[in-house]
Amino acid sequence: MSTVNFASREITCKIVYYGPGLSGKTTNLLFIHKKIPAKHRSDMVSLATDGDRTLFFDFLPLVTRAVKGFTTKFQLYTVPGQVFYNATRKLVLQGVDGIVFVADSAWNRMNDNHESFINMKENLADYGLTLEDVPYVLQFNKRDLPNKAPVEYMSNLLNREKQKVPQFESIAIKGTGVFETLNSVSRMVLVKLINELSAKKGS
Amino acid sequence: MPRHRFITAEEQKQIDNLLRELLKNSDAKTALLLDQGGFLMSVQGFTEHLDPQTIAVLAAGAFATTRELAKLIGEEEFTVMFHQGRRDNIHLSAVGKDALMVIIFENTTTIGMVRLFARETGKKLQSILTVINQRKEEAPMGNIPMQE
Repeated sequence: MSTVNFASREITCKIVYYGPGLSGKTTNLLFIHKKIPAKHRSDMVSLATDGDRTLFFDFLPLVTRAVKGFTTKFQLYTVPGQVFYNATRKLVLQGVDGIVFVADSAWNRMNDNHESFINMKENLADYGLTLEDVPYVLQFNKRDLPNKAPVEYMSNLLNREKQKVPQFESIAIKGTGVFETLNSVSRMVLVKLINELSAKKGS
Repeated sequence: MPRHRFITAEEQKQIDNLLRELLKNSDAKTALLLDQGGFLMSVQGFTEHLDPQTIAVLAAGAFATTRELAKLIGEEEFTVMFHQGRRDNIHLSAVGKDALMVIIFENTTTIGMVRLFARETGKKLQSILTVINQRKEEAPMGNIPMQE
Protein backbone atom coordinates (compact mmCIF):
# COMPACT_ATOMS: atom_id res chain seq x y z
CA MET A 1 0.00 0.00 0.00
CA SER A 2 1.65 3.23 -1.08
CA THR A 3 1.49 6.08 1.40
CA VAL A 4 1.31 9.74 0.45
CA ASN A 5 2.25 12.08 3.27
CA PHE A 6 1.29 15.68 2.61
CA ALA A 7 3.09 17.00 5.67
CA SER A 8 6.54 15.70 4.74
CA ARG A 9 5.62 15.58 1.02
CA GLU A 10 6.71 12.00 0.73
CA ILE A 11 5.41 9.04 -1.25
CA THR A 12 6.45 5.61 -0.02
CA CYS A 13 6.08 2.44 -2.07
CA LYS A 14 7.03 -1.14 -1.32
CA ILE A 15 8.69 -3.34 -3.92
CA VAL A 16 9.22 -7.02 -3.20
CA TYR A 17 11.76 -9.27 -4.93
CA TYR A 18 10.14 -12.70 -5.13
CA GLY A 19 11.37 -15.99 -6.58
CA PRO A 20 12.73 -19.43 -5.71
CA GLY A 21 15.63 -19.98 -3.32
CA LEU A 22 19.08 -19.02 -4.64
CA SER A 23 17.69 -17.26 -7.72
CA GLY A 24 19.52 -14.02 -6.86
CA LYS A 25 17.03 -11.79 -5.06
CA THR A 26 19.45 -10.70 -2.35
CA THR A 27 22.20 -10.34 -4.97
CA ASN A 28 20.02 -7.79 -6.77
CA LEU A 29 19.65 -5.73 -3.60
CA LEU A 30 23.34 -6.00 -2.76
CA PHE A 31 24.28 -4.63 -6.17
CA ILE A 32 21.78 -1.77 -5.88
CA HIS A 33 23.11 -0.99 -2.40
CA LYS A 34 26.69 -0.95 -3.72
CA LYS A 35 25.96 1.32 -6.67
CA ILE A 36 23.56 3.88 -5.24
CA PRO A 37 25.24 6.83 -3.48
CA ALA A 38 24.82 6.77 0.29
CA LYS A 39 22.73 9.98 0.29
CA HIS A 40 20.03 8.18 -1.72
CA ARG A 41 19.85 5.06 0.41
CA SER A 42 20.15 3.80 3.97
CA ASP A 43 21.97 0.74 5.16
CA MET A 44 20.71 -2.60 3.97
CA VAL A 45 19.23 -4.89 6.59
CA SER A 46 19.60 -8.63 6.06
CA LEU A 47 17.99 -11.20 8.29
CA ALA A 48 19.97 -14.19 7.10
CA THR A 49 21.17 -17.54 8.42
CA ASP A 50 24.83 -18.32 9.02
CA GLY A 51 24.99 -19.71 5.51
CA ASP A 52 23.86 -16.37 4.08
CA ARG A 53 20.44 -17.70 3.12
CA THR A 54 17.68 -15.17 3.68
CA LEU A 55 15.78 -16.11 6.83
CA PHE A 56 13.12 -13.42 6.97
CA PHE A 57 13.84 -10.62 4.52
CA ASP A 58 16.38 -8.14 3.22
CA PHE A 59 15.41 -4.49 3.33
CA LEU A 60 16.87 -1.56 1.41
CA PRO A 61 15.26 1.89 1.43
CA LEU A 62 15.94 4.22 -1.54
CA VAL A 63 15.10 7.88 -1.97
CA THR A 64 14.42 9.47 -5.37
CA ARG A 65 12.73 12.55 -6.82
CA ALA A 66 10.56 10.76 -9.35
CA VAL A 67 7.44 12.76 -8.58
CA LYS A 68 7.49 16.54 -8.77
CA GLY A 69 7.28 18.20 -5.36
CA PHE A 70 7.46 14.88 -3.52
CA THR A 71 10.31 12.82 -2.19
CA THR A 72 9.68 9.30 -3.43
CA LYS A 73 10.85 6.48 -1.21
CA PHE A 74 11.06 2.94 -2.46
CA GLN A 75 11.39 0.24 0.12
CA LEU A 76 12.93 -2.84 -1.45
CA TYR A 77 12.36 -6.19 0.24
CA THR A 78 13.33 -9.72 -0.65
CA VAL A 79 11.51 -12.82 0.54
CA PRO A 80 13.18 -16.04 1.68
CA GLY A 81 12.95 -18.30 -1.36
CA GLN A 82 13.15 -21.66 0.35
CA VAL A 83 9.87 -23.53 0.15
CA PHE A 84 9.38 -24.05 3.90
CA TYR A 85 9.51 -20.31 4.70
CA ASN A 86 6.10 -19.58 3.23
CA ALA A 87 4.70 -17.94 6.38
CA THR A 88 7.42 -15.30 6.32
CA ARG A 89 7.13 -14.88 2.54
CA LYS A 90 3.48 -14.07 2.98
CA LEU A 91 4.22 -11.54 5.71
CA VAL A 92 6.69 -9.67 3.53
CA LEU A 93 4.09 -9.39 0.75
CA GLN A 94 1.76 -7.45 3.03
CA GLY A 95 1.13 -3.99 1.57
CA VAL A 96 3.15 -4.68 -1.60
CA ASP A 97 3.01 -2.11 -4.43
CA GLY A 98 5.22 -3.80 -7.00
CA ILE A 99 6.99 -7.12 -7.52
CA VAL A 100 10.16 -8.25 -9.26
CA PHE A 101 9.98 -11.98 -9.88
CA VAL A 102 13.57 -13.24 -10.05
CA ALA A 103 13.76 -16.55 -11.91
CA ASP A 104 16.80 -18.79 -12.09
CA SER A 105 17.83 -19.47 -15.70
CA ALA A 106 19.31 -22.92 -14.99
CA TRP A 107 17.39 -25.67 -16.82
CA ASN A 108 17.08 -27.73 -13.66
CA ARG A 109 15.40 -24.82 -11.79
CA MET A 110 12.42 -24.41 -14.12
CA ASN A 111 10.11 -26.38 -11.83
CA ASP A 112 11.22 -24.27 -8.86
CA ASN A 113 10.56 -21.07 -10.84
CA HIS A 114 7.12 -22.24 -11.78
CA GLU A 115 6.24 -23.39 -8.26
CA SER A 116 7.43 -20.12 -6.78
CA PHE A 117 5.35 -18.14 -9.28
CA ILE A 118 2.23 -20.14 -8.38
CA ASN A 119 3.07 -19.69 -4.70
CA MET A 120 3.31 -15.91 -5.23
CA LYS A 121 -0.15 -15.86 -6.79
CA GLU A 122 -1.56 -17.88 -3.89
CA ASN A 123 0.02 -15.61 -1.30
CA LEU A 124 -1.26 -12.50 -3.07
CA ALA A 125 -4.72 -14.05 -3.16
CA ASP A 126 -4.61 -14.31 0.63
CA TYR A 127 -4.43 -10.50 0.68
CA GLY A 128 -7.27 -10.27 -1.84
CA LEU A 129 -4.87 -9.38 -4.66
CA THR A 130 -4.24 -10.78 -8.13
CA LEU A 131 -1.40 -10.11 -10.56
CA GLU A 132 -3.71 -7.66 -12.32
CA ASP A 133 -3.71 -5.51 -9.17
CA VAL A 134 0.04 -5.40 -8.57
CA PRO A 135 2.54 -4.16 -11.18
CA TYR A 136 5.29 -6.73 -11.66
CA VAL A 137 8.20 -7.54 -13.93
CA LEU A 138 10.14 -10.73 -14.59
CA GLN A 139 13.89 -11.03 -14.32
CA PHE A 140 15.59 -14.07 -15.86
CA ASN A 141 18.76 -14.16 -13.80
CA LYS A 142 22.05 -16.01 -14.23
CA ARG A 143 22.13 -15.64 -18.01
CA ASP A 144 25.85 -16.44 -17.86
CA LEU A 145 25.17 -20.06 -16.94
CA PRO A 146 26.22 -22.64 -19.54
CA ASN A 147 23.08 -24.73 -18.93
CA LYS A 148 20.60 -21.87 -19.21
CA ALA A 149 17.09 -22.26 -20.57
CA PRO A 150 16.21 -20.15 -23.62
CA VAL A 151 14.47 -16.86 -22.90
CA GLU A 152 11.51 -17.94 -25.07
CA TYR A 153 11.04 -21.03 -22.91
CA MET A 154 11.14 -19.05 -19.66
CA SER A 155 8.82 -16.47 -21.12
CA ASN A 156 6.33 -19.20 -22.07
CA LEU A 157 6.60 -20.63 -18.60
CA LEU A 158 6.26 -17.44 -16.55
CA ASN A 159 4.96 -14.62 -18.74
CA ARG A 160 1.66 -16.25 -19.59
CA GLU A 161 -0.87 -14.10 -17.76
CA LYS A 162 -3.45 -12.21 -19.81
CA GLN A 163 -1.36 -9.06 -19.59
CA LYS A 164 2.24 -9.68 -20.72
CA VAL A 165 4.77 -7.92 -18.51
CA PRO A 166 8.30 -6.57 -19.11
CA GLN A 167 10.99 -9.22 -18.77
CA PHE A 168 14.71 -8.69 -18.31
CA GLU A 169 17.76 -10.88 -18.73
CA SER A 170 20.26 -10.40 -15.98
CA ILE A 171 23.51 -11.47 -14.38
CA ALA A 172 22.80 -9.92 -10.99
CA ILE A 173 26.18 -10.77 -9.53
CA LYS A 174 27.80 -8.54 -12.18
CA GLY A 175 24.98 -6.02 -12.11
CA THR A 176 23.79 -6.71 -15.66
CA GLY A 177 20.08 -5.96 -15.93
CA VAL A 178 19.67 -5.09 -12.25
CA PHE A 179 18.88 -1.40 -12.66
CA GLU A 180 16.85 -1.95 -15.85
CA THR A 181 14.61 -4.22 -13.78
CA LEU A 182 14.34 -1.82 -10.86
CA ASN A 183 13.68 1.21 -13.07
CA SER A 184 10.96 -0.63 -14.92
CA VAL A 185 9.05 -1.82 -11.86
CA SER A 186 9.38 1.48 -9.99
CA ARG A 187 8.08 3.37 -13.02
CA MET A 188 5.13 0.97 -13.30
CA VAL A 189 4.32 1.43 -9.61
CA LEU A 190 4.36 5.23 -9.88
CA VAL A 191 2.40 5.32 -13.13
CA LYS A 192 -0.26 3.11 -11.54
CA LEU A 193 -0.43 5.36 -8.48
CA ILE A 194 -0.74 8.53 -10.58
CA ASN A 195 -3.31 6.94 -12.90
CA GLU A 196 -5.44 5.77 -10.01
CA LEU A 197 -5.35 9.22 -8.44
CA SER A 198 -6.19 10.90 -11.76
CA ALA A 199 -9.05 8.46 -12.41
CA LYS A 200 -10.53 9.22 -8.99
CA LYS A 201 -10.23 12.95 -9.63
CA GLY A 202 -11.85 12.64 -13.04
CA SER A 203 -14.78 10.50 -11.88
CA MET B 1 -7.87 -2.08 3.12
CA PRO B 2 -7.38 0.84 0.69
CA ARG B 3 -4.62 0.56 -1.93
CA HIS B 4 -3.20 3.97 -0.99
CA ARG B 5 -3.05 5.91 2.22
CA PHE B 6 -3.09 9.69 2.44
CA ILE B 7 -1.94 11.54 5.54
CA THR B 8 -2.75 15.25 5.69
CA ALA B 9 -0.48 17.80 7.34
CA GLU B 10 -3.04 18.26 10.12
CA GLU B 11 -3.25 14.53 10.84
CA GLN B 12 0.53 14.28 10.88
CA LYS B 13 0.66 17.11 13.40
CA GLN B 14 -1.88 15.42 15.65
CA ILE B 15 0.03 12.13 15.53
CA ASP B 16 3.35 13.85 16.27
CA ASN B 17 1.83 15.76 19.19
CA LEU B 18 0.32 12.62 20.73
CA LEU B 19 3.68 10.84 20.63
CA ARG B 20 5.44 13.87 22.14
CA GLU B 21 2.85 14.00 24.91
CA LEU B 22 3.37 10.29 25.57
CA LEU B 23 7.13 10.80 25.91
CA LYS B 24 6.62 13.67 28.31
CA ASN B 25 4.16 11.77 30.50
CA SER B 26 5.95 8.44 30.56
CA ASP B 27 9.50 9.78 30.64
CA ALA B 28 10.39 7.46 27.76
CA LYS B 29 13.12 8.29 25.25
CA THR B 30 11.75 7.71 21.75
CA ALA B 31 8.38 6.84 20.27
CA LEU B 32 7.54 5.60 16.78
CA LEU B 33 4.27 4.98 15.01
CA LEU B 34 4.33 2.58 12.07
CA ASP B 35 1.97 0.43 10.11
CA GLN B 36 2.13 -3.34 10.32
CA GLY B 37 4.11 -3.41 7.08
CA GLY B 38 6.90 -1.36 8.70
CA PHE B 39 6.08 2.01 7.12
CA LEU B 40 7.11 4.75 9.54
CA MET B 41 4.43 7.35 10.16
CA SER B 42 6.08 9.34 12.94
CA VAL B 43 9.14 9.33 15.13
CA GLN B 44 9.52 11.61 18.13
CA GLY B 45 12.05 12.11 20.91
CA PHE B 46 15.68 11.13 21.00
CA THR B 47 16.86 9.79 17.63
CA GLU B 48 20.60 10.43 17.64
CA HIS B 49 22.50 7.25 16.66
CA LEU B 50 19.17 5.59 15.90
CA ASP B 51 17.92 4.48 12.49
CA PRO B 52 14.15 4.85 12.93
CA GLN B 53 13.24 3.36 9.54
CA THR B 54 15.17 0.18 10.21
CA ILE B 55 13.78 -0.04 13.75
CA ALA B 56 10.29 0.28 12.26
CA VAL B 57 10.84 -2.47 9.69
CA LEU B 58 12.36 -4.86 12.21
CA ALA B 59 9.68 -4.11 14.82
CA ALA B 60 6.97 -4.83 12.25
CA GLY B 61 8.74 -8.08 11.38
CA ALA B 62 9.01 -9.07 15.04
CA PHE B 63 5.35 -8.26 15.59
CA ALA B 64 4.29 -10.22 12.54
CA THR B 65 6.27 -13.19 13.79
CA THR B 66 4.60 -13.12 17.18
CA ARG B 67 1.19 -12.88 15.50
CA GLU B 68 1.92 -16.17 13.77
CA LEU B 69 3.11 -17.60 17.09
CA ALA B 70 -0.12 -16.43 18.72
CA LYS B 71 -2.18 -18.20 16.09
CA LEU B 72 -0.29 -21.43 16.75
CA ILE B 73 -1.48 -21.40 20.35
CA GLY B 74 -5.01 -20.34 19.47
CA GLU B 75 -4.72 -16.59 20.14
CA GLU B 76 -5.61 -14.01 17.50
CA GLU B 77 -2.52 -11.93 18.28
CA PHE B 78 -0.38 -10.68 21.13
CA THR B 79 -1.12 -7.00 21.47
CA VAL B 80 1.95 -6.07 23.52
CA MET B 81 5.60 -7.08 23.29
CA PHE B 82 8.41 -6.07 25.60
CA HIS B 83 12.15 -6.39 25.04
CA GLN B 84 14.30 -5.81 28.09
CA GLY B 85 17.90 -4.66 27.75
CA ARG B 86 20.56 -3.71 30.26
CA ARG B 87 19.84 0.00 29.91
CA ASP B 88 17.34 0.47 27.09
CA ASN B 89 14.08 -1.37 26.64
CA ILE B 90 11.52 -1.55 23.86
CA HIS B 91 7.76 -1.67 24.31
CA LEU B 92 5.73 -2.61 21.23
CA SER B 93 1.98 -2.37 21.15
CA ALA B 94 -0.69 -2.78 18.51
CA VAL B 95 -2.71 0.32 17.64
CA GLY B 96 -5.92 -1.01 16.17
CA LYS B 97 -5.60 -3.59 13.42
CA ASP B 98 -3.12 -1.83 11.14
CA ALA B 99 -0.56 0.06 13.22
CA LEU B 100 2.09 -0.41 15.86
CA MET B 101 3.66 1.87 18.41
CA VAL B 102 7.26 1.40 19.46
CA ILE B 103 8.46 3.07 22.65
CA ILE B 104 12.12 3.03 23.62
CA PHE B 105 12.80 3.81 27.26
CA GLU B 106 15.62 3.66 29.76
CA ASN B 107 15.53 2.24 33.26
CA THR B 108 14.84 5.73 34.62
CA THR B 109 11.15 5.05 34.08
CA THR B 110 9.12 1.88 34.58
CA ILE B 111 7.38 -0.55 32.25
CA GLY B 112 4.16 0.17 34.15
CA MET B 113 4.27 3.88 33.35
CA VAL B 114 5.09 3.20 29.72
CA ARG B 115 2.30 0.65 29.41
CA LEU B 116 -0.24 2.97 31.03
CA PHE B 117 0.44 5.90 28.71
CA ALA B 118 0.92 3.65 25.68
CA ARG B 119 -2.61 2.36 26.16
CA GLU B 120 -4.05 5.87 26.47
CA THR B 121 -2.13 7.24 23.50
CA GLY B 122 -2.94 4.15 21.44
CA LYS B 123 -6.67 4.82 21.76
CA LYS B 124 -6.27 8.41 20.60
CA LEU B 125 -4.03 7.42 17.72
CA GLN B 126 -6.47 4.77 16.68
CA SER B 127 -9.23 7.30 16.12
CA ILE B 128 -6.95 9.37 13.83
CA LEU B 129 -5.84 6.26 11.95
CA THR B 130 -9.43 5.19 11.44
CA VAL B 131 -10.10 8.47 9.64
CA ILE B 132 -6.96 8.00 7.52
CA ASN B 133 -7.75 4.40 6.64
CA GLN B 134 -11.38 5.08 5.80
CA ARG B 135 -10.54 7.98 3.52
CA LYS B 136 -11.60 7.30 -0.04
CA GLU B 137 -8.71 6.80 -2.41
CA GLU B 138 -8.51 10.37 -3.51
CA ALA B 139 -5.64 12.74 -2.87
CA PRO B 140 -6.97 15.39 -0.49
CA MET B 141 -4.79 18.08 -2.06
CA GLY B 142 -4.91 17.60 -5.83
CA ASN B 143 -3.07 15.29 -8.13
CA ILE B 144 0.57 14.43 -7.87
CA PRO B 145 2.34 15.42 -11.08
CA MET B 146 5.00 13.08 -12.46
CA GLN B 147 8.44 14.52 -13.00
CA GLU B 148 9.10 15.29 -16.69
